[in-house]
Amino acid sequence: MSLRSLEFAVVESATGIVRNSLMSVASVTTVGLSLAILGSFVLLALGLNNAVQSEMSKFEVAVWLKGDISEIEATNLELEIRALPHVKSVELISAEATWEKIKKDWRDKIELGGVQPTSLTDHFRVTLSDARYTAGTAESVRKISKVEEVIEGRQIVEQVVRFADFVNLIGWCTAGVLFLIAAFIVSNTIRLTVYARRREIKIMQLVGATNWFIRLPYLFEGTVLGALGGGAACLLVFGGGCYLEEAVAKIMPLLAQFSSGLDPMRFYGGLVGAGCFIGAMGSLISIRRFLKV
Amino acid sequence: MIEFADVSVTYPDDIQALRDINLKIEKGEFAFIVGPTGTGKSTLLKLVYREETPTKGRVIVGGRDVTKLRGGAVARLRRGIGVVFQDFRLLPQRTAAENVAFALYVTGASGKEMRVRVPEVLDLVGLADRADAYPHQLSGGEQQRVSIARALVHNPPILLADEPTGNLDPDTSWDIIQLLSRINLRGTTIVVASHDQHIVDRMTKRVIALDKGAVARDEEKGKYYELAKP
Repeated sequence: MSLRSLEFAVVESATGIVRNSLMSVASVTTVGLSLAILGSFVLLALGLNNAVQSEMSKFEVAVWLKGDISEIEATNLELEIRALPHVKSVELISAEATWEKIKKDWRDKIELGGVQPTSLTDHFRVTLSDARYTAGTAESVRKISKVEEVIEGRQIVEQVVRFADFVNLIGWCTAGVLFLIAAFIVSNTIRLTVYARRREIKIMQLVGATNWFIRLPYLFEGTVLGALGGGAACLLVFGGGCYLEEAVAKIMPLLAQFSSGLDPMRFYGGLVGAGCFIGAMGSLISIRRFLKV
Repeated sequence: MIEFADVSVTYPDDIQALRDINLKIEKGEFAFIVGPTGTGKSTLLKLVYREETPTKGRVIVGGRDVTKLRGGAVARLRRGIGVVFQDFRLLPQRTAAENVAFALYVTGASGKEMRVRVPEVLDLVGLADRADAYPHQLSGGEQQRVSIARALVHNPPILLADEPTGNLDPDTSWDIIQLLSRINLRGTTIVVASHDQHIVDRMTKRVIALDKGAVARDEEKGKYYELAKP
């Protein structure tokens, strides 16, 4: 790329944006809105995924042991559970510890007078690597002898997982459609500039300007519009994001640990990058037809 | 310099613009292509600067088959071919000098090259004193001279003119043809598509007559119509 083509591209693309200011504003707005919605969905989906992940560690399987189990038997049992697939950790909670926890959690709430620690047994707290395998693991543990009862949070886990999948699906579909619409509008804006310049383009082709030289100003124009749209999306998502996170935390306290866990620099950089991509694609589509000889 | 070998151009809907053209135009020649409107004169010129590609056959310009050129090679080919049109195709918001300089600018010429070359070609076409005039301030003949200057700015070995006098009065037309003739004397190969009978007859140069897309007649020192018509 020569200095000349850069100079030409910068001057011409700036002229194009100013001359078509109304359509340029429309492009920036649609790109901005599309990317803001896309960005929000990404944040929401990632947040939900993270929430599910963190909830998963809470939805462990509780394996209650029979009262007459010996220490060796308990150790063997622990090894057996540990050997099952998808098991992350196994922790033995003694009956006393459980009793202490119950007393602490339920004090002032219910009358514990009649309940004695002796009616409790030891139990294993089994944590899984993925909530999807809760039911299967619980089933496997049930088959082991000396197990009194297996309790799992299957239904809740399944619902949350399904909900997260659903949000993901809706998000990607919406984002895909919006992406296309944004590219279409940018492409139309560039088409106006190209149309206004069709004589110049024709002459440039005639006197032997290379296709890239002719294309570059429009590519610049589209990319700049896309980048501006990406910037607008950043502002919208940043503004809305704070509010959204609070709102979700309020509506679904279950998902208290609601956070996308994304590096903000990468996320906002990604939005601007996606804007540039939409803009560049839109302008290349518009100019393609005019350059065909 | 320019050679057509078995060239046919068929548009969609089976419209044959050109059929089996076999022609050779030598270096330094001055040739007229004549014939009624819609007979394929423009298409023939477009094949040379690769605005069109033939459906069949080869077009050889300066020893290269231009039908196979792509992208950058097409751009380089066009820097070696000046093209002039009936409607001048000047940019209205640029002066005469800027219109000429534009051709150099968009092909990456240096500022120094532009400062030297633009006055040179404007002088050659006799417009040195109108360099700063805008197209609307120029007469038709002057506008055509600007477009010829632009076509010559890359110093091309070939100059094509598609009805260059179509919009001009007879006297101005003759001036323009004289200018092309002078440029031809400097060694530039010139091909003019025209249906201006007076000019063609007065010049007595090579005449290639097209009829319904085929070469009907090709004569050295020819006239617009066949001579001894009984």
